[in-house]
Amino acid sequence: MNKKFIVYIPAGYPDIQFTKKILEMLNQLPVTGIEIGVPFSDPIADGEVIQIAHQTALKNNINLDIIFNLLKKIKLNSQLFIMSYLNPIINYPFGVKKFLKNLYDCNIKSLIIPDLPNKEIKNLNLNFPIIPFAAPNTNEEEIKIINLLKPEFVYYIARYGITGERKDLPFKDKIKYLKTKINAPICIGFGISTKEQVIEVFKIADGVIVGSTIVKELHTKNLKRIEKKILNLIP
Amino acid sequence: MEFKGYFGEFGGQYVPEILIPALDELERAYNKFKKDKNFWLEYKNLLKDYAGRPTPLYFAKRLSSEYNLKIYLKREDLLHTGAHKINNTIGQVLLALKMGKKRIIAETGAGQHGVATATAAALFGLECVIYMGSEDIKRQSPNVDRMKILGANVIPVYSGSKTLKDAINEALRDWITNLKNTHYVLGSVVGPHPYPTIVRDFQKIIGEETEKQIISKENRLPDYIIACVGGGSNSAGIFYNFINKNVKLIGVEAGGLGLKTDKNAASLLKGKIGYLHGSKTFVLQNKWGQINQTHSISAGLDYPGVGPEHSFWKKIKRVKYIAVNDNEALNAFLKLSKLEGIIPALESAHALAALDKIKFKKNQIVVINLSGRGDKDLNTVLNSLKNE
Repeated sequence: MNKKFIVYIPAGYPDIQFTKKILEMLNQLPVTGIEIGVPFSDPIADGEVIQIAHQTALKNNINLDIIFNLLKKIKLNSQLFIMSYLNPIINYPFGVKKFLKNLYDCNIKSLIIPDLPNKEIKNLNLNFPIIPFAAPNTNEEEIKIINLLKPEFVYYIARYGITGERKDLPFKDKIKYLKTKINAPICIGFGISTKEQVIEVFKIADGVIVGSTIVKELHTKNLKRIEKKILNLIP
Repeated sequence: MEFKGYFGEFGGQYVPEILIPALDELERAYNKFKKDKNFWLEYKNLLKDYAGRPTPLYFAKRLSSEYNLKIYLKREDLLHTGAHKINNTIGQVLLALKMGKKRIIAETGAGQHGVATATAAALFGLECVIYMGSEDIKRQSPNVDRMKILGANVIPVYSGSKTLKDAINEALRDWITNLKNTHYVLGSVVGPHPYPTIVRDFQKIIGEETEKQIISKENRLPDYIIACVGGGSNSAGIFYNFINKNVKLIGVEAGGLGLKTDKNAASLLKGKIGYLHGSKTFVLQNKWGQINQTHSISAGLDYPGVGPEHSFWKKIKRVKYIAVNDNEALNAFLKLSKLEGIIPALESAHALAALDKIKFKKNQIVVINLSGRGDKDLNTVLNSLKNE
C-alpha cells in the first residue's frame, strides 16, 4: 500500500511522558507520518477535542524546547511533521536560527501552520518547507501557488469547518479535480474518523490525516485501547 | 516593501486557508461598494436618521476650567445603542445584505458591539448570533439582555480566558463552518485584511465631523486629539482624518493594575510583535508565544492584541500611546459625571484620564473622543468603589 496514513498527536497531552510512549507505540504500527501538535492558547482552526488537548498541555507548561528535547531522544520510523500555530514559531525565544536548527536536529520534514494561508508563506520567508493547504474552495490561483512550493504533500481540508469527528467525505469531485491539477500528493484531514472514510480517501487521493478521533482517546492513557483505535482506522 | 493588506509590516491575512476566499469575496464587495454613491448615501442616511449623526462636539466648560484648557468632547455616547460601534455595524450589515448573506455573527467583549450588531441585524431582519466570553456575560449582563430582546442568539464561550479574545476565536470557528450564508461583523480594526481597513473606513466619519465642527467653533484644528485604544476602532475613527495634519494624536491603552504588573491590556506599550486573530501586530504574550490573559476594569479594552494600523502608527511615531490605570480611569469616570453631567463608558474614561498625564500649554484645544456612555458600567464602578 502506497498511501499515507498520518496521525496527529498533540504534544504533552495528557502529559509529555505519555507522548513519548505514544510515539514509541506508533513506531510499531503501519503509520507513515506523525504530526506533532505544538499547543497554543488560541487554536482557531480546532474543535473542542483538540482545544482541550492544547489547554491541558499548556497547563503542563509544555513548550517547543520540551518537544524538541523529546523528539531528539526518539528514533522514529515514520516521517515527522510539526503542527504549530504561527505565533509560537515566530516568537521562539531563542531566535529563528536556533528554531530551524532544532527542526533539522529532530529530522522534521515540514511545518504545518494552520493560520498561515498559502499566499502568506512567501511573505514569511521562513526558509523551511511548509505544507500548503487546499480546501473545497481552492481556486486556480491558489493551485498555482501550491505547485510552485513543491511540497512533501498538500493538506486538503475536507470540509467547511474545524477539526473534529465526522462520518462523511463531502466534495469528492473537488478532490478528484485537485488530483488532476496538483502535482504533490494530496492528504485529507478534518473530520476523518472512520475506516470507511479512509477507504474512500484512498480511492481518490494519496493519504489521510487523523486527529480528533485518536486525541479523544489519549486521556485514558490506555496504550492498548489507543493502538486498537488506530489499527481499526487502517484499511 | 508594501504588500496588499499591510500597514508597513503590520496586518496581513494570517488565518486558515479556507477563510481566504471569503476574505477575498469581502474585499471585492467592499471595493465595489466603496465606489458606489448609492451605497454611501444609504449608509449616511441611516447614520443620520437612525443612529443620530452627526454627534455633537461639546465644549466641556467646567472640565476645561479645571485644566486651563479648551476641552471638547466628541459625543459618540449619544449615538443609538450608546457607543460608536453602530457606525461600523450598520456599514457591515449593509455590506452583508449586498453580498446576499442571510446570517450575521459577531463577537463582543463589553457587549457594546454585540448590541450594535444585534440592532443592525434587527433593522434588516437578519439572523444574528453573538459570541461572548462567559466571564464577560457575568460582568456585562444588561447588554446580554439587550441583545436577547433584539432577537440575537447569545452564545457563551467557555474556552481559554472566557473573554473577548476567546469570543473572536469562536466567531472565527463559526465563520469557517458557515462561510456561504454568513457574514462575520468584526467589531474593531483588528483581524485579517480587509477588516482593519473596512472598520476604520466606517468609523472615520468621527474624525471627519470633528474637523468640520472644530473649525466652525474655533476656526482652527485642535492641538490634541485623545482616544482610548482596545482593539482601536474609536481611536482609528477619530485619528484617521488627522493623520496627515498638524495635530498631536494620543492613544490611551488600558494600564489595568499597572504596566509593571502583568495585569494590564496595554498591547502597544507592553506587547511584542506577533500574530493574533489574523494579523501581525503587537500582542501581549509570554516567553513561548502563548497569548496572555489580560486585565482591565473596562471589558471593552480587555484584549491582548491591537489593530495593525495602530502598530504602524506607533512604529512611525505618528501617534503617541500612553496607559491609564484602572483607578485613574475610575476617577475620571466620576469626575466627568459630576463636572459635566455625563456618565462616560469606562473605556472612554481612560481617554479622559489622559488629561492628567500630558503636559499641556495653557488654553490649548483638546478633543477627547467620548466613545460610549457609561450606563453599562455602573455595577463595575459601584463594586470597585465598595472594595476601595
